[in-house]
Amino acid sequence: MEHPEDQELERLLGQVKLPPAPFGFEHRVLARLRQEREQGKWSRLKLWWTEQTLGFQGGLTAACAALVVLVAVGGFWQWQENQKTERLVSALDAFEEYQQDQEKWTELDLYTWQ
Amino acid sequence: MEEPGDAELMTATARGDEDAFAELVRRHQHLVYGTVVRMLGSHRAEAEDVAQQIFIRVFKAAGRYQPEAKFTTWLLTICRNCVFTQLKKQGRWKKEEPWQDEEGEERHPLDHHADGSVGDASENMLRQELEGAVQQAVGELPESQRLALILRQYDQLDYEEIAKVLGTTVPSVKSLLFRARETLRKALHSYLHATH
Repeated sequence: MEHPEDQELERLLGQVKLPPAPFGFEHRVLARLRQEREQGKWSRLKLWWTEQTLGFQGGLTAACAALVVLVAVGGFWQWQENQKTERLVSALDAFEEYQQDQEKWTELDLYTWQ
Repeated sequence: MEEPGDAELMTATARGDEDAFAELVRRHQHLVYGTVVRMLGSHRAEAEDVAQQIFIRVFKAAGRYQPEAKFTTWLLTICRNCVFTQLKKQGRWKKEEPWQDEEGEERHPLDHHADGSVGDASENMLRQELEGAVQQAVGELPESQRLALILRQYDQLDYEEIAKVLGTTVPSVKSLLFRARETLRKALHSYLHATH
C-alpha cells in the first residue's frame, strides 16, 4: 500500500530538476576527444620507438655478451695452447740436454775404457 | 528527413565519425551531466570533467556497443562506473554549488517555474532552502539508493532499466527505492508537512 506521504515526497522531489549541461559542453567534449586521440597517436609512436630502442639495446647487449664470451673462450684456448707449447719446448729442451749428457758420458766412457 | 536513432549514431561513432558522436553528446548531455551532478554533489568543474570522461569512454567503447541494448541504459551504465569511481576518489558527497544559466547568471533549479518564469525574492529563498534540503537529503543516501532514486525520479527510467544500469535485479531496485524514500521521508519530514 502506498504511504500517505509518498505523493507529497514525489511532488517535493519533482520540484528539483536536474541541472542542465553547461553551455559549450559538447564542444569541450569534442576538443578533449581530439586532444586525447592526438596524445594517443603520440604515445603509440613513443611506445613503438621505445620498443624499437629496447629491441636494439637488447640486441646490442646480447651481441656484446656473445663477444665477451667469445673473447674469454678464445683467450682461454690461447692460454691452453701456450701452456702446451711451453711444456713441449721444455720437454724438448730437457730431452736435448739428456741427449747431450748421454753423448758426453759415452765419450767419457770410451775414453775411460781406452 | 528522419533523424538517425542512437544505435545508428553509435554504429557511425564506432567507425570514427565525429559528427555522429557530437550528435549523441548533444542529445544526452543534460541526462549525463545532471545525473553526475546529483550523484557527486560536487562542484561544476569537477562534475563537467566526469561527464566529459563518460562521453570519451562512450567514444572509445563504441565498437563494443550492441545495438540490441537501449543506448541510454548502456550510457548510464558507463555513467554509473565513472561516478562510483569518482565517489571512491573524493570520499564523500559534496554540497553542490549553484548552477548558472546560459547568460552566466547564477540560478538554482527551483528558481524556474514550470512555465519558465522566475518567482519573487521570498519565494525564491523558500525554494532555495527547500532545494538545499532535498539535495542534502538525496546526497546523504547510500550510493546505490541515490543512483536508483535519480534514475527513477529524474531520468524517468523503468525498474528493468535501472536494474540493468545497477547490475542488479528488479526486486532489488524496488527495495533500494523503498529504503531511499523511507530515508527521505524522515529527512524531509518538516518540509513534507510545511508544503501541504
